[in-house]
Amino acid sequence: MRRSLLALALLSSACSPFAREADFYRTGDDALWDARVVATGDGLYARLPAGNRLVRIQADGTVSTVDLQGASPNRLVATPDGESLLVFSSWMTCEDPDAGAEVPADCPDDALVQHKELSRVQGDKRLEGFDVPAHLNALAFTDDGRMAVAYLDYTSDMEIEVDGLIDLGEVMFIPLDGSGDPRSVSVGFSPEKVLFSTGADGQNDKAVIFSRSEVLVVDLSTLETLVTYPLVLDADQVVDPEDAVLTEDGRIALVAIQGSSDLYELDLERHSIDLEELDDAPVAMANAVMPGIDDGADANVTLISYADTSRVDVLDQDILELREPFELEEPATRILITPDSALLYNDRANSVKDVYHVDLGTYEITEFRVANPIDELQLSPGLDYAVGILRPENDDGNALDAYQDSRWGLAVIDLVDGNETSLILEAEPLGLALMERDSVTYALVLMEGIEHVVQVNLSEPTFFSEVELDAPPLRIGELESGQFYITHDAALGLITFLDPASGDLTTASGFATAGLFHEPALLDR
Amino acid sequence: MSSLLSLAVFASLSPVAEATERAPRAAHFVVSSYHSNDEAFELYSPNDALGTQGLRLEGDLRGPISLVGSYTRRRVASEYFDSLVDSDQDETDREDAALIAAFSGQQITFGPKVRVDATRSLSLYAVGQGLAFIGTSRLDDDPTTEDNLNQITMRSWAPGFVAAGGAEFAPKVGPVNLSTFLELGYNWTAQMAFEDASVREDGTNEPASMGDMAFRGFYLQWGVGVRF
Repeated sequence: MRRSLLALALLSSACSPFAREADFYRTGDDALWDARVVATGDGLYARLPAGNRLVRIQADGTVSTVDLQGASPNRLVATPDGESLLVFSSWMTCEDPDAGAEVPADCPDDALVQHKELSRVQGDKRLEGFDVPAHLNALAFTDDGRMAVAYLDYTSDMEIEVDGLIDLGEVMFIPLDGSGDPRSVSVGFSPEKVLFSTGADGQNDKAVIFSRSEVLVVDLSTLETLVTYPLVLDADQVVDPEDAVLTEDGRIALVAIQGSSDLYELDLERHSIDLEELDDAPVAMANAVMPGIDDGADANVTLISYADTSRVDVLDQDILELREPFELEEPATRILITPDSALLYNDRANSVKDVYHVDLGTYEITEFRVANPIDELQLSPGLDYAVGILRPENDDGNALDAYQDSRWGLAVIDLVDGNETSLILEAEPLGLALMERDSVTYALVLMEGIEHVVQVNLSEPTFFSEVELDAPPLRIGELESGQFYITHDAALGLITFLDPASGDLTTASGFATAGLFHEPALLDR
Repeated sequence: MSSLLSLAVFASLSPVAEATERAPRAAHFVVSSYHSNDEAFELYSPNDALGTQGLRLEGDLRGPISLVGSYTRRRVASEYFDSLVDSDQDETDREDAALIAAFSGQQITFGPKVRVDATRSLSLYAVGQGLAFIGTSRLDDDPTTEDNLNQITMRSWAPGFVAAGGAEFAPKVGPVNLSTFLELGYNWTAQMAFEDASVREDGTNEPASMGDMAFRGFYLQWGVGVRF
């Protein structure tokens, strides 16, 4: 009897308190954390929607909360210099002092007001807040990060809050260096893209804002509109920019229009417009340098590609004339640029599987044929390799072809030796990152539901190794320090840091508990 | 309601009391309900009360006054089957829970009870007890793996009180008598503060706050045992 009691006591103490049955089976209202983390020089920042908190996670596993003075973080954007984090945040107030409300539920509906601001955060602290209209949800930055431009990035299913009235063409210039107050400028309708031209002193001096049917140029020192370029002559016509680039000298803005074969050339100095009639509607443009092409002199050019035309046009930026094009066998919709070459591929058509490596100095074209359509293509840090994610397509050919066609894959292209290897992946890839260690280039591939990272040596792509993870991965990204981070599908928070130099892994876990018992509150700022 | 029914059945089945002296001590197995109107408790249970079981002891002090002490406990747990992580990936059907959130509450009460004998077997009483409420939160986002990284345990406690009135039925048939009681009232605790040592509060070395939880509201306890 005594032995039985002792055994019972030992058994009960050995059972993990975590392993017992649950009483209720439920679904949650809010996510505990947002795996779309944002990296700055201070580490990673993650939103905790259920806890209404923001946390900073460092590569050594240290986690701390960030003081937003009670506001809820809604969206995070890193500044281009990586020194700060900009946080779209919000909080509620009750404008009825007689209500004596401490929580939103106690405040009359017509007195409940939501406030929004853009906060600048460094480390664990909110340095300052900018009063930004609630509907502006996207940011563009000058090259030096001194100025941010907030604008509306509209998607069809989003709700726009109207507090009194809003201007859908409004953009707001926000001096991040504290040199002045934020200021709004109305720029027509639905501004979609903001580029910055560079003056003689090397500083960004103008913002070029592309909106429906017009392009505006705003002086960054005065925030005055310098010139407006109408893209149509008839006010009844509506055109939306497809893509836009500034020439290397910042003098000309090249604007491609959706569904139009006209290329607009906007002279930002002479305030004039010219049209280049192309054979097809451009879908991608990229600036490049053709080394030594003009009797040993370099030429600044813009490459223009099309969805249905098997050619890449070359626009000379000095004379704004088309040079000899690159003739291809199949159309290319994407352009990757290196200092002396371009990589052209098609991520739209399932029937197109060609990747072209073109030598911009000699017009020599090397064609690679991958097994499946390309979903994404990346260049390695040393520019020796291109690695692509291949998506499944309809079964084709014999049984082995059909097997490969129906699966996700990885294409490894050796740009130096000129060969290509198409591999089959175990599951749908979630992320791809390329790194170099000890002069060897590796691809790191995350796959859905697979609890390891596949590490492919790109010089011998058939041979790979696996790095075990603690939970299924969601995303992979890179820190400013060169370390990689991997977010995981773990409700309480889990991020793995990978040091590419040593291959060591560290983890930060359990950070999604901060503020988990949060109850909505009213703030009195 | 079932408690009242049990009391009536127990009364009808009891033999007619013969003894005249009320036994001074009692031991009861008890079930209790501690109400919480705190949203924090919703993480662990969709109900707004924690039903507990335990033991209650009582001893007469002087005249109609006795001292009562009890220890009760209960664990409730919820399994969540959606991802609880915002990401760009589509939600997939899960075989295993994404999160188990379990709360164990232990209650220790102690205080005086004043009774009025309505009949030889039935007494009415009022009780006021100090309460120590000990809460343990256990969170686990990988329940199929033992000793995984995210098994987080947090403990806290709060003082409080219970104030209740009730009725006890204890037919006197000998030195040891069967007894049952039902009491209703109000429970109140201060806030239990839960902290996670793995996260630092901004600008300090203090653990980050997970939040507070309190149990306040309707209280019920039913017991069955012996008076001796």
